[in-house]
This record gives sequence, structure tokens and C-alpha cells, in this order.
Amino acid sequence: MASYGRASAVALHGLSGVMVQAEAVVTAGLSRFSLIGLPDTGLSESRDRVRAAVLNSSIPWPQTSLTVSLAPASIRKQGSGFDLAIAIAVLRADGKVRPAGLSETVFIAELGLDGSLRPVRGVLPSVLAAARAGYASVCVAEDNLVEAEQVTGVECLGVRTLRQAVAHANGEPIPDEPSQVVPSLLKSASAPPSVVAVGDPASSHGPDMSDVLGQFEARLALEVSATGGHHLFLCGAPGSGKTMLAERLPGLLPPLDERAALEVTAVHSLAGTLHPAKPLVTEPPFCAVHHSATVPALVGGGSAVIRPGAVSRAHRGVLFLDEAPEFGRVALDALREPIESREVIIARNCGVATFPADFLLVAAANPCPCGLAMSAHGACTCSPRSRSAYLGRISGPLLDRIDLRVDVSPVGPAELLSAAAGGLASESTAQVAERVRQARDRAARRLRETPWRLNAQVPARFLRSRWPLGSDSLEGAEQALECGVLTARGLDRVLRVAWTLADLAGRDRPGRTEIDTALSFRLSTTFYTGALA
Amino acid sequence: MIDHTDERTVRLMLSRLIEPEDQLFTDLREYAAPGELLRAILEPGVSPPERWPPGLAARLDYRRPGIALRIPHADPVADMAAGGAVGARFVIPGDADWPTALDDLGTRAPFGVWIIGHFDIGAPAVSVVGARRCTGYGRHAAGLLAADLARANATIVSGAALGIDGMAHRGALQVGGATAAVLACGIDRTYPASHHTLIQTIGQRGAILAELPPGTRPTRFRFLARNRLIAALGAGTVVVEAAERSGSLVTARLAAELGRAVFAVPGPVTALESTGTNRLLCDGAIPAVDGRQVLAELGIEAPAPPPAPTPAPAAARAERSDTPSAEADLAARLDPRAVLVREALPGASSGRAAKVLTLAAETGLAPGEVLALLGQLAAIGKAVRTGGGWAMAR
Repeated sequence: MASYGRASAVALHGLSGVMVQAEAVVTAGLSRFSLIGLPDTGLSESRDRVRAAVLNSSIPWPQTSLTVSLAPASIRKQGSGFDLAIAIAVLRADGKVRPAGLSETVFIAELGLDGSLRPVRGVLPSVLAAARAGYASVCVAEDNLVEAEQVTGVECLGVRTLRQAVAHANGEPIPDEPSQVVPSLLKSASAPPSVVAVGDPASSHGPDMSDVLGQFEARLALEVSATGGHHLFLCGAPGSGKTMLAERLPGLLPPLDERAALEVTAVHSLAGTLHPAKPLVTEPPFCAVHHSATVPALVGGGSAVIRPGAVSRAHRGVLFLDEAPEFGRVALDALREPIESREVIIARNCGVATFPADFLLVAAANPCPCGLAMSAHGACTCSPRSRSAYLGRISGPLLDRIDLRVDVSPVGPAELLSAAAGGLASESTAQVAERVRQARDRAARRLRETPWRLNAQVPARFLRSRWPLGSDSLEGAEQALECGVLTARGLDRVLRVAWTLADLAGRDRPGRTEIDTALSFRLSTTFYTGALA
Repeated sequence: MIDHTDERTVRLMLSRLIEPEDQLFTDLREYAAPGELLRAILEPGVSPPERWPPGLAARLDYRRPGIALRIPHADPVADMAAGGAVGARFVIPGDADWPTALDDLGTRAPFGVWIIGHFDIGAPAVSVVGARRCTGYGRHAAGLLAADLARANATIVSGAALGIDGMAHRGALQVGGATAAVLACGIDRTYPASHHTLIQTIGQRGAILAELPPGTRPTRFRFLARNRLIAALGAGTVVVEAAERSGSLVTARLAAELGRAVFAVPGPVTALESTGTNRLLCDGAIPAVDGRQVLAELGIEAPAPPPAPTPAPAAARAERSDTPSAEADLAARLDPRAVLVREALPGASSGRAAKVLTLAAETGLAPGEVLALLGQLAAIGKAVRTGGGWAMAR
């Protein structure tokens, strides 16, 4: 009878994990090691890592024929996170580790050739899957421990070496091992340049709204956007503060609740953008994307491993597209589906992955290629054709999903001087965020019997029929419709924004002031009213 | 049927048929009034008046086949419609706003000029011209000089070309001064395309002039012909930068021929871009140092600084609305606070824009209130966002 051993691990598809059994069989015969069960290239290399790690842990390696199968054999498996489970399964088959007992441990770690345990991506969703499947304990690399511990209901063990893991599996006291001076993978594998690592403790104090001088309309737009979940389009000359404003939007959003924090952390764990010292993301993330981004970079993808894209890294936070017209048209249009469904479904030959993508979009653009179209002195040198073509690169269907459009102009000398003279300080993020919180509560109370929570999510048809407005409050909108400066579609957006303004003002429905203010946002964008209002 | 006795119609027809600066017709105009000239062109059978020198009639006959090609396109009614479509009017001698300075061109004067905007014929005008290919020094000097002159209430006349011309216009616009662009194409066209915004702005806050009929394309010789208008319109012509063979030197020569003062901005003797202007200085042009000096040389008193632009009274704008009753109706429905905000807005042609916080400080209303009221005004087309703030709609 051949000797048999097994150990549990997790295979991730997107954020959902499938429990995998690593089964090892030692039979008589020539020394060989085969790994089956649809492993990818990275996983096939696992054989060499496991063998070296076992030998370097002063444990004898079975000099016979060895087969390891990853079950279920029908699903593809990728990555290095199975190393530890394979090693334990082999050692169990060889009798070096006692068989799995009733309270089974899940092993998730990569092995170094020296027998050390290395952290892997996606530990949080993996541990979540193990907890859901009813496993009681998880063994991970020490560097992944804090992340794994975010999941409640599972006992987590962080170890430094294979020797420690073996001792744990045998129920022996865990030997002390010197801390390796191996740089952590997560620390060294810095995030791609377009990605801000989330949860960075340095940014926890974040940029503050009090740094924004003047900019009355833009400040209000941020507040409205954070309250109602309205996507935002900022149009302004270079240096007018579009990026500065966008960076301050996450601070206005309410902090993530426990469920949202786990969702967001799981995505970033998979994307490898978690900050090692702060493994649970509790603040809404901010994800800025460079305009050279491809479709897979934006919405997620990859051939062997499906990784979340920018829209998922911005889940429950803000996705910022600077220089939006410079993005590829295909890439921009790929945003439409996640904006609508608030999740991304990516199909590849290795399987289908679903990532959450409930983000607030902030797109910024110069008004024209030279950026000076809004100057009062005719300084713009763009031809009319190139100017209209420039903003025209953002497709109509995408713009249709953006409720708020604001022209941002550089801070004037008067505001700069008054600030230098210690004039009226701008409101801080905390002050605005408190108003946003109260207004969100008010909206949630009104919408409690509907599937929606934010004003931007409510279909206009429903808004009109469920809460009709008095004709006197709509007078401004009526005049704008008569003059032809506002379209029916534009009116829907005006109504949605007006509802958010009413929530902010503490009123039970929008009055004339709210409608007119919403109109001032809608009608103020002089350069593309023709196409967009 | 076209009324050939109507002076405006005659001049419209002639500007279609005859290219500016055509030597034959410059000569003919010594002897023939426009009406007579048009008749001589359209009715070849009729023998010319006896006072015409015999050689001229023969030259005209020789040119007839060429002119005949243009006759089918001469449609004064269509021209008026095309001009009207872009807000231009055709001004001829005798009209109140005919730039009388053009009369100094004598038989080389245009038959009429198309004008968009307001060209103040009473104000002193200075032409500021120069090369398209210019240096940073030239751009700086042109902008400064134009701003200086415009601040002293002089109208800056130039050709809206790239380089010096554009900077001269912008300098004047920057200080809220008057400026006029003389185009070498039809009034309904903008050339160069990259100055589209600039030319539009000049049309709104100054004046655009063109002698060529609507739809005409700019060509090399039309630029040279256009230069004589720039030379004539200014009491003096300042050349900022010009290389050895530059169109600006033609303008300077024409200005000198018309008895206008010619100025040149001195440049480095080593710079190719200044060889033309430095040559002008050698030939007796006046060095242009700053606006005050130029005006002093021209004998124009620099007046006290202009008062800060004030919002135009509401009554003046009322006529822009479609019907008076609709206007009154809208005004009656307007919130009194909206009227207050409207009055605090800078005028449409002032080139200024007020930010919400400025308006709030001025009216004493809350910023949020001001924004809502601006929304009200925008809904009825009374306020627009411009240049980083809000202004009255035109």
C-alpha cells in the first residue's frame, strides 16, 4: 500500500476562493516528483521549491516515486501559495508529519529554497474562503499574519519557516527561529506607478479641504458628489487644482464599515497594493490612473492570473482619471459597464472572476489641447475643430453617467492674498464630512424601502413619479427648457443633484434654491453645452 | 433685380468684381464714380465717357473676359445675408461709422468695409504690426506697447496674424482696451485657425474689419492689400519686429506715403528678426519706446485712466431679447435678488469675470444663494460662465 497524505489550501478565482486538497502519494520506484491537477507554470516550479525547502529544513526527502495531485483536478490553479500545503502533504505521506486530524489547518504560503515562508497575495480572500468552508485554523507566513487575522472565526498562525509549520502540524511546541532578513515580497514589490498604495499610514491624515482656497463651486461639487454618489467631471486649465480637489474627495466619504473594509482589503490583497503595516483598509481608497492605462489595467484581467483593475482598487472609494480625453476611447468605454453594475465580471480561459467595482468616478480634463480655452483674453490657440474634438473624445454614453460637471478656474489673486493675510479659513474635511454623513443618513432614510442608498443610483423615472416636485420650484428648469439650454436628459440630472442638495440643506424635498443651484452646475459649462446640456 | 443706382449695392458689386489694389481700377477711379465704373463693367456696349483717357478704356476692354468670370458670383443680396449671418454690416463712405481715415487712401480706398463689433472712429488709433516669426523679445514688446497704448484709450489696429499681430491684440484685450483686427479674408472666416478664439474675442470686445466679400479666402497678395488698410487706420504705425523682407515693412512704407508717423521698436543689431526695423530707424522712423512716448510723438494727449468698467444698464440690454414683451415677462418673474446679482455681474464685453465669492461679497448674499441665483439667470440666458467666473450674457 502506498503511503498517502494530504493538506488543505485555497485556489482563488477573482475574490472567490475554492478549497483545494493537496494529496501526495509515495510509491516504490525510481525517484521522481510529479505534480498534477491543472497547475500553471508558477505552480509547477513549486516542486523544486518544496524539495529544496524540505531538505534545507533538515528533513529527509523521500527517495521514491512521488505524485502530488491538487483536487478538484478540474479547476486551474496558479501562484505560489500552494507550496506549504504541498510540502505538508508530501511529509505526511512520508510519515514525517502526522495525518490531518479533525480540526484541520489550511496552509497558505510560498516556500523559499532555504525553508523560510514567504507571504503571498490574496491571503485575506483565501482565509475568508477557508472560514466560510468551516475550517478552524489557518497557517500563513508571518508577514501575512496581520492580514489573515482580519477574518473573524478562524484561528490564524503566522510562522517563519517550514520547520515551525511542521512542528505546528505535529502538535509539537513551535521552535524559535531567527527572523529572516529576507525583504518581504509585498514591501519590495512596489505597486505600479499609477496606483497609490491604500491604507498608507502616512496618508491617514490625508489632504485636507482647508487647503483649498476659494473655489466655492468646486468645493460644493465635491460635497454633493460625496453625499449623493454623483460622478464628477472637472474641467479646467492646467494648474487650476483639479487633482488637488479630487484627492480630497475620499476624505469626505464616510469611513468603510466592517463588511466594506473586508471587501476593499480583499481586492487590494489580491492586487498586491496593501500597505504591510496597515492590513485592513478602513478609509475609502483613492485610485489615480494614468491616461496610458489599457482596458485590463482599468477593469482588470490578465491571462494566467486574473487581477483586479483600477475600478476594483477604487471600490468604495474614488477612481480619478486625470486628462480624461487622453485616455484611449476603448478604455474609457470599458468603464460604462462597471459604473452601471458596480461590479466587473472578467472571463478568461482559466475561469470567470467577479470583482466589486462600486466607485465614485472623478474625471478631469483640460478644456482644450492647449488648456487655455477658458481664459478671458482669447489666449487659446486651438482651432475650433481640435477643441471640439478634444472633449469629444469622451464618449457621450460615459458622460451621460456623470451627474456633476464643474468648471474649475485657478484661484484668483484676491483669494490668495486674503489667505496670505490670514483671512477666513476654509472649512476642514472633518466639518464637510460631518455634513455629508448627516445628508447620507437623510437620503438613506428616504430610500429605505427601495433597493438604492444614494441619490445618484435612483433612476430618474422613479425619482419623478415617487417624489414629484412643486411646479414653482421647477420654474428655473422650465425656463431653461423653454430657452433650449437644457435637454430632458439634462433635467433628470439636475433633479438628482437637487435632491442631494436638499439632503445637504436638511430639507425634505428640493425647493427652488436647490433646483437653481443644480442648474448653475449644469448650465455653467460654456464650452460644451451644445453637446451635453 | 438689383438696384444699380443704390450706392451700397454698387459698392458691394464692385468689391465682388474687383480685387483690392488692382492698378487698372485704381487709375479708373480717378475719372469714374463707383456707379459709373460698375456700369462700364456690366455694359460693355456703351462707349465710355469722353473724359476717360483713351488708354484706360482699352485696358478695361482687355480685362473684360477676366472680370466676366466674376459677374455670376456677384450677388449683393447673398453677400448681405452671409455677412449678416456672422453679425457683420457693410459700411460705406457717408455712413456714420465709416472709418474716415480710409479716405486718405484716395482711389486706393476700399469700396466699403465689413465690420463686426464696434470700431470707434473718434478714438485715436495706432497700428501695431510685425513679423509672424518673432522672438520672445518681440512678443513681449508688442504686448507691453499695445497694453500701454490701449490703457491710454488708443485703439490697437493689427492684422490678427500669428506672432507680433496676435500679441498686440492680446495686450490690448488684457487691459480691457479697444482693438481692431483687419482681416485679409472674408469677414465670415478666421485666419489663421489657431487664432479663432482670439478673433472671436476681438469681435466681441473690439472690432473685426474686412474689405473682401464674405467667403473670400486669404491669399498672399490679399495680405499685402490688407496692409494698406492697417496703415491708413492708424494715426501712426509701429513695427515691432520685421526681418529684411517683411510684409510689415510694406505697411510702414504705405503709412509713410499716407503721411502717417512710422515707428520702429529697436532690436539687437545681431538679430535677423530686427534687421527690418533697425533699417527703418536708419531711414528716419521714430524709435518706439513705450506707449506714452508714441502718443506724445503723435500729438495725442494720454487721457486720465479710464474709469473701471461698470455693468451696462439693464435697459441697454433689453433690446437684445427676441420680443420686448417676453423680456418684460421674464424680468417680472425674476427674483429681486437675481436682479441684484445680475447688476453685480461684469458686462459681457468687459472681458472680466466675477467669481461666486466676489459676487457674494459685493451683493451681501450668501455664496450658496448667489450660485442658485446664477443658475436662475443662466436658465434664462442672462448669465454665462466665462474666463473662470461669471459674466452677463451677450
